Amino acid sequence: MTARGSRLLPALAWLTLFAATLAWAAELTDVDPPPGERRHAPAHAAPPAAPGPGVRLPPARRPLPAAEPRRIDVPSLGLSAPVVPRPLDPSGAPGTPPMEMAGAVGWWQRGPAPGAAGPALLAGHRDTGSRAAVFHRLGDLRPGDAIDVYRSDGRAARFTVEEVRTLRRAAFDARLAYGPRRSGRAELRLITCAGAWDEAARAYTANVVVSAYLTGSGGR
Amino acid sequence: MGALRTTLSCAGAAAAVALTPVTGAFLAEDGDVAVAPVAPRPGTDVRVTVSGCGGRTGTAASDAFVAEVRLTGTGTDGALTGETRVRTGVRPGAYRVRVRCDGVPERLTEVRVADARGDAVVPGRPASPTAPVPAGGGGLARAEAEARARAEAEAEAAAPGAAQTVTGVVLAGVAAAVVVFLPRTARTARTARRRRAERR
Repeated sequence: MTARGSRLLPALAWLTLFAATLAWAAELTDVDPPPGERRHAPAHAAPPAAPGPGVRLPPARRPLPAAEPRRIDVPSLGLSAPVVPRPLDPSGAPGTPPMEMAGAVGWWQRGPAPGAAGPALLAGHRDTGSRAAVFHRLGDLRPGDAIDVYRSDGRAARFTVEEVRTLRRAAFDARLAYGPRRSGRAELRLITCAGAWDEAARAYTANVVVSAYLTGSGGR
Repeated sequence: MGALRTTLSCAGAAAAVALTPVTGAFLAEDGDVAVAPVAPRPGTDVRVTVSGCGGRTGTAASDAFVAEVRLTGTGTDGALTGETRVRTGVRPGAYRVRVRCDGVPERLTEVRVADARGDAVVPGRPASPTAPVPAGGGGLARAEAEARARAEAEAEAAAPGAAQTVTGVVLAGVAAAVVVFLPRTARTARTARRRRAERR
């Protein structure tokens, strides 16, 4: 056997072994992530999102005169939806649009208007019996995100998210959900369902409540 | 601050409800300004109650009112209150109420004039929301549960099977063999070459 041959053999052996090991490892770890797993975690798993040290929230702007909301845009969620006035439902909850209008958002018509002083309440569905609805990604909002509400007076009211909170139905604190955070400000609450689906009660076990306040206006 | 606090702590506002001969004892309140009822019909009485003022008098003005409201002290907890009437010809909708009194900056609230039927001012229904929102049909939750079950099944299927384990063990064995035997073979070959060279 020549000197070159004696060196070639171990090199070939190592190469073959290496390739075989690679193939084996690739086969072992080749697991496709299940659908949905890569997207956002479910809203109920998220802790209440308060502004972190990196988020500097803008100052509150003086409230606007009252005018009815017509449309809501949430750029960070790619959401744009019509707003319809709704009364309270018989249980005392701010009314959502009927299921046939699951792409629209309900505004509690007896409460403050978005942009006027006080907390304006906008409630929307998370899903219907079969598919996602207008507010299905509400729990993904984070402090500092923008919400625009277009109003009947031609103005656009810009709100900045300051908190995203999940409240359990079982120990529901209406004051925390619907009451003002700071007196005199124009505030906005976006509310939908969160938590686990209770098949027996045919309801979700929690609400996710996004709190925002007026930080700018435009249009007209 | 909010109708909730009104019902709990603002005695002046509660008294205003009792005095106002209009159906629907609802209050619109922003800061410490209350308009009762929150949705008066055209031509009916409204009462404005303000707390937190420094002095004994103030005013509340709105395009929806026939005249400016003169606010005066009621003697209890420093709240100022006054009455006026909603204009008969006013169109239903939201109107700004501008409140001025001594010692504090001007405050704004709104009065929502109802239509002639009284719009959905239903007695016995809560004035402000008290219940969580029922805002779903469970479609997403069911889809998520199915996705989770599918993922678990896939993870189980993807765990190393018997064949893969055997392959791994064989590969490890070959690697060990190569590490142990190859240098020896190489050494033997080198020694043989050296011996051949010496013989020559």
